[in-house]
Amino acid sequence: MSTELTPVHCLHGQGRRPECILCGRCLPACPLFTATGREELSPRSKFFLARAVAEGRAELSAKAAEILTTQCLSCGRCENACPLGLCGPDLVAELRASHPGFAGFLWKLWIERAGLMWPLARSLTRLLPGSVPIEAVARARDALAAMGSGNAPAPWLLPKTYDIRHLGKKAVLFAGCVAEHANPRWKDSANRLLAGLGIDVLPDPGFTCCGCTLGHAGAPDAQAAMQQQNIEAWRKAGRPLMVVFCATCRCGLRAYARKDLGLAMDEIGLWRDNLVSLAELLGDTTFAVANTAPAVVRYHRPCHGAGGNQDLGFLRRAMGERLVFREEETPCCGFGGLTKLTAPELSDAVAKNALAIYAPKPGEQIVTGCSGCVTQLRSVAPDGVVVGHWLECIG
Amino acid sequence: MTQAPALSAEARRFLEKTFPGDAAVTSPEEMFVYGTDASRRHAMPTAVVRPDSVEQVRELLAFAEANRLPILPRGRATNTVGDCIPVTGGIVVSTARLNRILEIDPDDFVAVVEPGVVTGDLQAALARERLFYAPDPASVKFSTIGGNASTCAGGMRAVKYGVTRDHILGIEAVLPGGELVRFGGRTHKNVVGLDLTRLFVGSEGTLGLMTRLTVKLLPLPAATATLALAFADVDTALTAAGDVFRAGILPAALEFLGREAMVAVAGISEVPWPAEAGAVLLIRVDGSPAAVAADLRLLETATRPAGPVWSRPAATREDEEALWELRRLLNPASFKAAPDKISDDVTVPRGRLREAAAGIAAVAGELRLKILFFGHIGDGNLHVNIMHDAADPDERDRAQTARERILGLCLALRGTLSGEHGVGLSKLPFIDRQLSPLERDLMARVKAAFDPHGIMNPHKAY
Repeated sequence: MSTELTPVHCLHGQGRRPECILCGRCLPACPLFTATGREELSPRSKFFLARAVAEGRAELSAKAAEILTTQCLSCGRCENACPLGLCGPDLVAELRASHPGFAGFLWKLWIERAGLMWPLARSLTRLLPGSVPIEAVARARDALAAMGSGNAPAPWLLPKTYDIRHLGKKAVLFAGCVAEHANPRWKDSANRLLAGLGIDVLPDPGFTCCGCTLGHAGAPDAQAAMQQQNIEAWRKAGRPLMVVFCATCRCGLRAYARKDLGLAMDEIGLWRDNLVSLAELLGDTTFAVANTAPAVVRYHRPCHGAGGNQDLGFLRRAMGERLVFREEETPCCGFGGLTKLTAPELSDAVAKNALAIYAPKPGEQIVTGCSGCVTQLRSVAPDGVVVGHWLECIG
Repeated sequence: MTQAPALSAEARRFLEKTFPGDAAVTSPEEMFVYGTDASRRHAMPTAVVRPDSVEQVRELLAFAEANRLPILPRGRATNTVGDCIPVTGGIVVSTARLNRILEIDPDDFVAVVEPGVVTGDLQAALARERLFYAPDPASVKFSTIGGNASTCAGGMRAVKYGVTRDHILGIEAVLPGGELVRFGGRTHKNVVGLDLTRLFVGSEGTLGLMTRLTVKLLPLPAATATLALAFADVDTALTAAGDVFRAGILPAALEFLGREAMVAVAGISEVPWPAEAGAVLLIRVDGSPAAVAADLRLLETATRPAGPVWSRPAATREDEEALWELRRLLNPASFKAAPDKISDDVTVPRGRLREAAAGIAAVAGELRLKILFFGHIGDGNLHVNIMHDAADPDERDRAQTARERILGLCLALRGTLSGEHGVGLSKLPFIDRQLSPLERDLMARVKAAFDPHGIMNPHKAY
């Protein structure tokens, strides 16, 4: 691989991308660097190397391409830390998208290793026929089913009174890939709660994946196709509330309102307003706490919490003092982006680092509101420690 | 990629054996970032290692001494003078995995840490026990204590608490050859022998590689408060700053932003001060809640005669942070003001600040350049950023001329070339203006006592 990169374009709409000043603010923000001490994986390193490649001062060797396109969790924490707003995942996605060999590499990966990406692959075969050989799908589906089982919490929060301020409103549930295909119980739980709130849940209008992962993966065409399908489905349903319970889905869907995807001017605001988290709708719903409740529940904040942290407020109300969340201890789970597939050992190192920070004792639980985080943390949790989506705690 | 001297087969074998797995890095792509720092210079290292034990460092320095291989200590590479650049190749030693807080002793009032600990992380851990490590360079949240000690980092609280050197009680380091030395200790006083601890601090990695630091702790001040003030012009603001000291107040921080610096920050963040203001002061006091409240009132009284055009007191943590974050944004903000900058951190005696500021403004006007000017004026420490476009030869020349004149001006005012960044590579060409040949010779002889073959961070600092 010694192909020239196409020029890098700024995603922030201000002419050319500002140049990284090598200040080092992104290092402590980067979960990969934090977990490994490998500075070459940091956003600073990627921006510095990418620039040298673009200017012809460094060759785009296989090694450089590996650093630049496969070793990023797409968590976006660096963008918040960067005084110039540079976003590592944007850089990585652009490099992936602009690299002619990358799409093929991506499919190969998904097909060969991808349990986790199976829902995407399946949706894509429908949207972009011929891209994904079908024989790979069965194998991937089995892997995904295995992922969905695991040690989920037994319900210990029982709804007592429902907050009915949204009574009679129409809504569709956007369950997301993992709930659709691996954890159908989450969807059942969500539907039960929505019924309790008195919300009129319409049938699934034909949603597909939010496309967030595909964007990070550098497959913008496939992402756009999915985004288009979701917008059409929402329109077909009569533009109702869209209820999500996965932070990454919410993040992905919110981004539609910022991109030129054919939403009409009067729809953009409606899209943003009607995209609501289940936790937000639950509002002042009250719960009885079963005596099987764990003494300590650790809240894991997903990196893709764009637009607020509605889960935390709700969980504090529902779970009370047993819910522990420390603002200075918010590690990334390591699931994100393609790294789970391209460099599983890095992804694992980040997950282990998160568990080391939480240091849960036997009997404690870790809850979160993102499908990817649940999957990842569950796979590394020590014996006796249960990790779950908060929906799983509700009976 | 420009190539560093190649790694011999023997050296490669040694590194792979001593630093197994991913602890040694030799591919040019992975090493690339290790050739740079916040000075934005670059040279390729010969190899990179990430020790996680003192034993590895000892073996490395024994091997490097025997083979005359340059050793380049590297924390987070946030220094701005090129201290981390491997100008003649060599082995970059990342302290990223020497990052443990080994001990916090609330009775001795010391902490023992490895050099790769981020200073802000140490402060957060200490704050939970109501303890306090005072130095706070602007990079405190993302630079390491090893790097802070190597450069004797200053920071905003230096006006009241002193610089990093005043807070390092003991150092464990490995010298070229692999010998482990321990200087100082854990007492807050120590006058036995020459003070090698204080010599090591600020030596810019030229004497040995620090592996442990014992730092001095203080009780965490129970409260802080900040007064932000804007003035019509620089001279009025500096007069008000003098009034603060004359009123008998020793602030915990006293920061100044000149007009161009204020505009630069406004370019990347919302700012609270009025657009027409010509200078801003940020003044912080700390102590007991009652003392802080009283000091805040004193500050307002003391600064009133100068006639601030805007003021904002902040007594909650959030309100204070909002003000101080603006100050921390100055370095990144400055990069938006022009494509290139020459950055100096000259320092003058506190009483000569107004002369220095007027002189710098005159240079800017005469040479038609934008010069950002801000800093820790409680210490007389001025950050001077000469903004220019290096692609324009005339502008580049004018910027160089401005730098020379400003350095000359500050030395004439009995100041120093650098208050806290260090000399590194970028100030080395000017060092003879401040140090006599005898002083430099003495420094070379001191270095030779520690590092006879000159392998530690060579060609830098003095």
